[in-house]
Amino acid sequence: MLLKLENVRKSYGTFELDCSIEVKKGQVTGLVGSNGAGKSTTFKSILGLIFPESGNIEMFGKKLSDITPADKENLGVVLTEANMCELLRAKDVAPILKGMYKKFSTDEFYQRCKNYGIPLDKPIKEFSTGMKAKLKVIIAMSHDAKLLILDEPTAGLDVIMRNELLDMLREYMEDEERGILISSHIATDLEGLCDDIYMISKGKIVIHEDTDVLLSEYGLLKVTKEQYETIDKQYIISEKEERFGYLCLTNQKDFYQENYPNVAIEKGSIDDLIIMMTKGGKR
Amino acid sequence: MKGLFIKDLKLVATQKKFIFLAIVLSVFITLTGDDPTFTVTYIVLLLSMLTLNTISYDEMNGGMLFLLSLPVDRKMYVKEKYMFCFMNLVVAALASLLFSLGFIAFKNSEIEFTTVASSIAGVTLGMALMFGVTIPLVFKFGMEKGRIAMIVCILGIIGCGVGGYKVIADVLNIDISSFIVELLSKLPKPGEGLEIVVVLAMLLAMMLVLGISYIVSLRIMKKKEL
Repeated sequence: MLLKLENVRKSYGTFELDCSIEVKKGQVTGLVGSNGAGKSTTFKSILGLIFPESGNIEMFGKKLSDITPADKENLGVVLTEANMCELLRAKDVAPILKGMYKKFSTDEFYQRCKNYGIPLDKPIKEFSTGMKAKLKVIIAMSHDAKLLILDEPTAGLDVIMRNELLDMLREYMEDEERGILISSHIATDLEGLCDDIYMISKGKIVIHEDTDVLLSEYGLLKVTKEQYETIDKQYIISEKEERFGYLCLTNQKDFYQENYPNVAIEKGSIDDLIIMMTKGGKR
Repeated sequence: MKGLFIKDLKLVATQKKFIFLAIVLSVFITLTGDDPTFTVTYIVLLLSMLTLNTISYDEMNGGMLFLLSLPVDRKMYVKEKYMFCFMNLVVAALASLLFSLGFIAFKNSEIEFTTVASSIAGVTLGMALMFGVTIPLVFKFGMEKGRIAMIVCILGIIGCGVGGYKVIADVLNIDISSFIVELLSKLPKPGEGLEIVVVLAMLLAMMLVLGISYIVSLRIMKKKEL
């Protein structure tokens, strides 16, 4: 186990995070949710940047409070809000990282910067949003980390760069000892990358499924009011009133396909899941 | 720790043009006169402020979040910042001393080396005190609010000093000035080891101030949520 969160609680006014997550070796785990659902609070708790009121966090089999800077060399991090001081240039960043990570390779870092069009001589403050995002990912992946914690790494990247980044992550995962915890607003990024997905809403984990299961067994039922009254609702996990009747999220698509051939059923996607679990009424 | 040092040096280096111009200008002003005191105090002040600025650069744009996600913990960050400050003060003081020695030799100045040296000692110690007060405040309140808090704090220290003096002198009826004169008369004379005593006392005072300040800063940083 690379990372384990058990009932981690943290409250800010009326918001309360209560979260349990696991990231296993060889797995890419996704964390999805709408804005303000608690993704960043979860990431900050994992990194010890905020202090949860209760619960346990273990990383590399050690309690978070026992994690030393040396252990953190096995960690690569991208946080939306975190940035390297923007007065520095990429060529200043290299010796800083070299001084921090035993496994940092300056040549590889420069090569990646070159491949992804990062200028070495320009202060970071003059970078475009995309360049800044790319540099953050390059930094996180520059030192052979065992665990990547990536909060919205694709934010600000165009579709080509997003695909390149996802390829980079797939290549990174060729080593079975590694793992990734990733969040993204762009659900399609996660659908093609993650082995399992946690969905967080209002600070609570509401769904945890393997991505294959999510995509093959979850579905959206579009039913009229009359149909809604008659269908069996035991596999409906969330519903939302629409003009035509109801939109219902199910985790047993096949059950409804077999028993209600007249009901319109769509294949579920992570975006639908986020919308239904955030906006819809849960059953 | 090494990485943090490199980062701070790189951050100071981003101001290299400004540092160069400021030093050239102050040296030029000094060379037209006969007293190097201005330049030497200026060098110490300048380097000290640059050191302090590295904290505000660290805090810019979520920089602290970034640094603490690297192999750095809060203790290491605080320790490095104090070591960097101390190191910069020592470098600035030594550079100032060398400059004044060169100046006196080059200009055949009549000014006593000890006079300049005591100015350097004064400003270096003053800056150490300033760091001691400011760094914990900046960690607690951030750079902008930290500056205001620093002014309040310094006024408070002066107030306590004056008040304390009054209490000791008037209430307890102890003559502090004659006590200090007596204490000073026990010190060795200039040329007989006074310089060594002063340098040692200064280093000790600096370490004491920065040491206490470090403990306070560490407590603040360990509780700070980012």
